[in-house]
Amino acid sequence: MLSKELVAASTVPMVLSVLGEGENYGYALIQRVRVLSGGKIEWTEGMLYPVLHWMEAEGLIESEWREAETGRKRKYYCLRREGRKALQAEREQWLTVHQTLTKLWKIQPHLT
Amino acid sequence: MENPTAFDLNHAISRWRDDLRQSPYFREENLAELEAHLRDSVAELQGRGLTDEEAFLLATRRIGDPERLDPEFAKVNRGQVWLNRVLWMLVGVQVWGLLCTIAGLVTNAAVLGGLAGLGYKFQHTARPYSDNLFPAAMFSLANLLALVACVAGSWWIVRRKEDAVSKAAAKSLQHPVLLGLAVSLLFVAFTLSSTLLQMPLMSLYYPIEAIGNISMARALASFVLGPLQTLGFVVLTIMLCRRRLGVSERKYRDA
Repeated sequence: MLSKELVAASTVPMVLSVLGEGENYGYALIQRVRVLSGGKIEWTEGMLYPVLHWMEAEGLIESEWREAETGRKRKYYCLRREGRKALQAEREQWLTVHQTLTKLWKIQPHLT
Repeated sequence: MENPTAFDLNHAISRWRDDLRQSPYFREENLAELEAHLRDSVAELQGRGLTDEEAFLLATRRIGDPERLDPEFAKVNRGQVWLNRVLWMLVGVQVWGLLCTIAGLVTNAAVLGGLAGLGYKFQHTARPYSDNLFPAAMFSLANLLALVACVAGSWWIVRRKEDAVSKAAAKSLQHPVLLGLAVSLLFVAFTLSSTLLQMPLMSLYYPIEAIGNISMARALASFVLGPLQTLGFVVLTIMLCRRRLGVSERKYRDA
């Protein structure tokens, strides 16, 4: 399980990255992160929405209500140009952290 | 309790949504989005073999307690919430004006009709103040009674139908422009009609010569009524504040 602080800090880059794959709605976004993390990243699901709304207000993403195949309405989010730039910046920062820690811990990639 | 069909999923979801709606920080759109999420989540859990009730309980737990979600939504919706408050203040002031106008209109009709029925005559007089004290007193008394009745009636409706009123209020916030427009139109319509109806109402019961005296009586009455209406507004505001603070203090102590 990830610490609360790390979950909070990684929410925005996670959202940007999932939306980088294409537009999506909140529930599916959470599922995607859960599956990819092997269930280790558990969000309080409702908390994602204020983050999405904040990101929308910041101009990183935009949203649209549309009818899904089930006939119910869902709010879809997709990246804007600012969001792609932010994603690139986040990528560099997180990779820097990751690479530094990897070197410190002398983890050898591709051992097998 | 043992009967699984006794659990009504749609009912439970709408109760859950109403519960969230108690907080001012959730906009209707937020609630719609959270409900869509909840339904997706419930559908998936049902697909894994959970009953409606189990799926609902687990799905609501995963979304999170209202107490935890509230401050997060508050951060993004604060501006909106303040705009809503200002809107309600303006609506409140206009509703108060509306109540005063309605009370005044009813009073004029009732008092003029009553005085005419009693055979009271507005005679030409050299002492327009003291000779018109009786009708002035009637106007003030009746107007006060009508105003109290209007306020008490509205209060009663709000108290009796609290759920329906708060739901209607939340719903009307989806169309704030329409709400403002409707209240303003009502306000203007009543104020205008009360002004326009003055003359026909007076001439219905009294000859045109009496109008000077009637106006004098009403002007005298408004000396009493004006301050009392203002006082009423102040008292009402303080009462509402105390109620409101009482509620939030209880919440605070319980927490």
